[in-house]
Amino acid sequence: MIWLTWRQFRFSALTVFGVLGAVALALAHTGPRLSREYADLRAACGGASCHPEAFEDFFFSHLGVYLGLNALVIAVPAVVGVFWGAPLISREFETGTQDLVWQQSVPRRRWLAVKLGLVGLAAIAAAGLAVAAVSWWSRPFDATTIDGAGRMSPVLFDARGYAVLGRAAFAFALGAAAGLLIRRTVPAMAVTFAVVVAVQIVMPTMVRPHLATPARLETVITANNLNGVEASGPGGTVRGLQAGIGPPGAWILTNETVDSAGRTVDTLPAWVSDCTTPEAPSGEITQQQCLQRLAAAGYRQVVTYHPADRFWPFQAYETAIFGMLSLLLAGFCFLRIRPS
Amino acid sequence: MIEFLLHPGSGVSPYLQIVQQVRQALRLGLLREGDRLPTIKTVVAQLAINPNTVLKAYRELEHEGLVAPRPGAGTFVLRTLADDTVTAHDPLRADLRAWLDQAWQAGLDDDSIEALFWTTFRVARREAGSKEDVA
Amino acid sequence: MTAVVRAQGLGKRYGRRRALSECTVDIPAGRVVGLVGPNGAGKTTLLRLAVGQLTPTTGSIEVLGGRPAADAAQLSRVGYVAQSTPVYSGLTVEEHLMLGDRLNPRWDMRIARDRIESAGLDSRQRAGRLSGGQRAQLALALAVAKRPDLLILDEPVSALDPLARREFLSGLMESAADTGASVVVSSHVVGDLERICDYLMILVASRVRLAGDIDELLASHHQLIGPRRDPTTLPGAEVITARHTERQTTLLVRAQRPVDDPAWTVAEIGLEDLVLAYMKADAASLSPMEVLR
Repeated sequence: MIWLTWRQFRFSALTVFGVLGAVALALAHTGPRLSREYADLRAACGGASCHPEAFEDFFFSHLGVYLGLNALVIAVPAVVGVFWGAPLISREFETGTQDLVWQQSVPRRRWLAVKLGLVGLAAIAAAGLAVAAVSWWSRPFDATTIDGAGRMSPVLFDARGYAVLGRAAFAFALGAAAGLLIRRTVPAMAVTFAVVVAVQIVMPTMVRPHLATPARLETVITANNLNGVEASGPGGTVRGLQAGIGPPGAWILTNETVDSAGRTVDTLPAWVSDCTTPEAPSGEITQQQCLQRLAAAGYRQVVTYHPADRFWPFQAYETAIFGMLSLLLAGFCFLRIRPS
Repeated sequence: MIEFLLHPGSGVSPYLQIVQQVRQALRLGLLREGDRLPTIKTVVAQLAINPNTVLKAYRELEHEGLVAPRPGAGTFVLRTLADDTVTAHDPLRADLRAWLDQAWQAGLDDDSIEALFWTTFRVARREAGSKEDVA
Repeated sequence: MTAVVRAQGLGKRYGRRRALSECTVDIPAGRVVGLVGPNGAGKTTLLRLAVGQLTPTTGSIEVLGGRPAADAAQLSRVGYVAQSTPVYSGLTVEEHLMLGDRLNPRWDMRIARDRIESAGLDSRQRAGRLSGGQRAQLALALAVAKRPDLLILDEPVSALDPLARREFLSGLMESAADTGASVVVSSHVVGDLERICDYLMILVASRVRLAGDIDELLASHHQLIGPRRDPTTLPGAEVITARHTERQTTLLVRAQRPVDDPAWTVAEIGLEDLVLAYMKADAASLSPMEVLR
């Protein structure tokens, strides 16, 4: 049964692992050089007190590859779900070979267990290889902590840690279940892809924020943290203020201006536009007065966020969620595989 | 080794056809004492018929004392029917020919001759009753 | 002899459609059984129930004394060739034999290779490139080499040309002679079944109409031709079909003892005509269908 599973799977396996392997080799080749470049930059600007802007050139010159690699890791579950999971059982129905293989001296459940188990493990291994190689290569870039690009941010969270292994198992099990239900490969692939993409969107927007109670930070708006004014147009009504607050590396969920009663404001009085950074040093006094007036009126900035140290707990939670979904889907497959 | 032929439209059951063809082969000297009949597997592969049919035919021949199975080796011919060569029955043939000439002269057509022969044959057979089969 | 397939009130329903109804049969072992009937009669359904690809809606079926496809041991005792003679088109012939070897404890590679050789298959050829007849031979080899006690084939030759058909049946019979396995073959071509079968089952409109030893069936069915008679019942005989012309009545009857009534001319019936008669007989019951000319 193991031989048969491999024999049927080997082309798909070699394709995906071939690509991942080639990428891993390329990363292994270029990785050390990038680490040295980064170390040199750090040494040049004097160690721990480096200003992030010193690394901007370094970061943005490799931005394309960096983003592409992250996209690759995020795509692995979809690939294994669509190309390994969906055809697993549906191909047998399409070609009629279920009448051949289920009549050999192997009960259906054992057949299913070996196929799901072996190819599922391969799916997890593929995700593991991808995330390990990319995480290792990206260490210098992750360390530059460009604002909003921390590990906790949705863009990067799925491409680091180990939750992607859970997602790969889930996508694979989903594909297999779709193939078993739909019995046609191409529709099963389409359905699997659609659901995996939907989950990919739903997870960070609707589930992950609630994995723990978000932390809350309320501060007075100062010249240091005020970034700008949110207006409906030049000279139009001011909606709120933009302030860069919140601890570094945190995942900001909401960032709003509230009034003295604690309510989120819809509009702010027109004089607030004086609080923005002045063009000439002479305007600084106007800004200071505006800010004092803002504070006196009770306006503050409130941020809800998940701090960076929640990265590993969240990874664990998500892996557990996807792991359970995978088991449920696999269980469903075992139920449905019985003769009708 | 003889090969069998099946005539599906002949109205004679397949197993009887095999029996008849073995007898014919024995008569004509194509099969001699000690020869081995084709294995059931060979016959069945060649004719695409039920193995039990061939088995039945070989059993019938065994019952007639013409062949005998040797376990593990096959089915072997015990005796031939070679003394029943056509020449031994020349007088019979001459009589039959004379009768046929008479029948034609009497105005009987082929079908009537056959019908007359077969009905007389059947009646005679029935009257012969439980007498041993004359090979 | 023990029964190789035993069904009691077996039925299968898909929604409102009855594919098989109240099927009660006792198929003896060691035979080549022909299953015949028109398309859609339920032959495939019955065979798939026997191999465990379907489960019954009503009734039960027992194969070789066990529930179909219950476990590996049961699966190893039954060989199945589905109507589509499925093969893995990406695997070579040789790889199919390896598949059989690894997945069946009773696999005999020698038998498999003999069958492949007799069929003239190239073991390095991909199964997807085989002709219909060659595929059927490969499927047969796979079913036979696992040394089953029962071989079930669903219309294995209906898509084959006459030569391929003959070669397949030869191969099948050769295997049957070799292994002594029981065989159940379904077909809608009576001529093929006549050559190879010694037991017959007729299936029409989801019901079994007739089942029995072919020799016994042919001996007990008679065609009676006589002057036109309207009451179409006969003492001691069951009338299967009746046909009337102005002056003549033709009956097909089933009787244990020969019909003595001198008014009737008795003729024997061939297997094909027998099957046709049962297929034409009334669907609801076995009462005769009168066709007026």
